[in-house]
Amino acid sequence: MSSLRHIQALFCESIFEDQSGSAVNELSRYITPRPGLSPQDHVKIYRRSVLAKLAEALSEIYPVCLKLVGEAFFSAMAHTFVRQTPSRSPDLGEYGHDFGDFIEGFEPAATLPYLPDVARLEWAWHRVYHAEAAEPLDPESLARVPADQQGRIRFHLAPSSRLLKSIYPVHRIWQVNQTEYDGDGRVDLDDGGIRLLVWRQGFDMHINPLDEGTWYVLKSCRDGNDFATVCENLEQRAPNADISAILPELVERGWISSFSL
Amino acid sequence: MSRFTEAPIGGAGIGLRTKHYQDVLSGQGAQLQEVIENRPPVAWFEVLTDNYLGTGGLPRHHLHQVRENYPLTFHGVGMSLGSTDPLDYGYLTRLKALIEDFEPAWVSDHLAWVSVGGRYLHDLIPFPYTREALDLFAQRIIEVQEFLGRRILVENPSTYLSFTNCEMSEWAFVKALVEQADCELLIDVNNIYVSAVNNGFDPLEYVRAIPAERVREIHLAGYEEMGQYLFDTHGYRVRPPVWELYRFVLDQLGPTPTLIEWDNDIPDFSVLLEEAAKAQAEIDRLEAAA
Ligand SMILES: [Fe+2]
Repeated sequence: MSSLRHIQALFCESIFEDQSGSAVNELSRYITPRPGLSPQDHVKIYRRSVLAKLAEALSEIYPVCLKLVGEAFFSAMAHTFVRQTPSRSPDLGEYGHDFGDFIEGFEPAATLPYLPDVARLEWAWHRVYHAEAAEPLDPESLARVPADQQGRIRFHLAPSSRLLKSIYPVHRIWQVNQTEYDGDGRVDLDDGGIRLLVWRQGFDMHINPLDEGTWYVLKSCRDGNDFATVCENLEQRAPNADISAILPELVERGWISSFSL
Repeated sequence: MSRFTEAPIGGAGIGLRTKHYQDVLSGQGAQLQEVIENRPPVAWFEVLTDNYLGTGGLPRHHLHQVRENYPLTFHGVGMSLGSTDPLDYGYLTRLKALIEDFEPAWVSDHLAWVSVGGRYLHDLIPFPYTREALDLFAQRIIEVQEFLGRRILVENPSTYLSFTNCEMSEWAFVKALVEQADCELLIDVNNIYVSAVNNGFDPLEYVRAIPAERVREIHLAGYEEMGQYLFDTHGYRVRPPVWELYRFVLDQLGPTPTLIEWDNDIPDFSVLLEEAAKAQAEIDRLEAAA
């Protein structure tokens, strides 16, 4: 290994390693000490800076979680996550997608059982915010599909949309914690579960609660099923829902934005 | 023929930050409204490219609105030019598309590395100034420039350590690099000052060695006193010794487009305008004397 590669590998290890400090100790022989600063102190400046930058990225993506637990708690939680989760992309906007899963296993947050789903909602919001806008589906092109082929159609959700389900009213928790919100701040956790679509219409962000039928149709489409299977799923899961009413609405709203055969 | 304003880059610009956009969406968007609606007298904006890597979305929409009225330059950290990993062509491809979309006057990255083993640190990490590093760095710039079809600018970062196995000074490395890679330079005056204090060299010696004909842009920002060292916080007004060094740099280089960078505790837009006006006054003074 080249000496440069060796130094870089050690540097990266030093940022994420635990108390043992074996990487930083080895790296130290390449670093000039200065009055008042040992080689380890020098590396610590970078360690702090890198970890703080990643934690800062999380606080920007997860502002409601931050508000719910407070700055100190969030910072401790984010730093725990960051130390065990290196970024794998030059795009910092792709960092932290599994923060919700992490919170679910983070013991000190167990008293806030809805927090993981609030985080998942914020991640959905973040990705929709950055997603490409889709052209609406042209109903005429859909009408041209021969009747005997219709069962094979696969409908695609708009790229600027995300489905999310929770046993908690996370959309209400999200809403009352927005800076500009000035309505009733109470949320009843026993309000029950919720199925949501986070989506963007042009440049406006939305969170819509979905009825059962709409949810199963969208979910089944998202999972890549053809239209025949989507109808079967709907029949099993929500027998009272009417696909002939749901589908045109999904197209009309732009939630389904394309199809393939 | 460009689709946008063809005003050349000159005078004092300001670093545009996405926080300005997010503030707008949460209803506190004085700064973006400032930029998009009031069109303040800013010579140009510099954009942090790594925040616009997505193919669509609201950040790009806002940036298009800014681009309608201002020239832009691009600035990033994602090239990881000093890394021993292979070049990330996924990143470069996204960057190239962004360049085609917004037609920046130029594109810059840093004399540093930010990733190794596929892990991104998103922070500018220094490396020992050796022949080995020089050859690697130059080769990577050549490849990037070939791929993008244009020269890039390389910026000196703030450093908080120096390596025992250096074979040359940072300024000797920079001088050799621009020759070998045929690239251009972005000189961050604040970073020279911070690195000089932290690593015990003479900032004037650095400045005297800068190949003036290669410099397209200067950066100014505010550091923070940390006791044993200075930290490049980008969260303050430009400090007095940096203004002083800036005057010395301008005397060496001649009038050079200068950017105010501010990333933390972003103040009222009027403060950024004041800082830019100070830099503009220095450039004007120089031009008047010429
Ligand atoms: Fe800079």
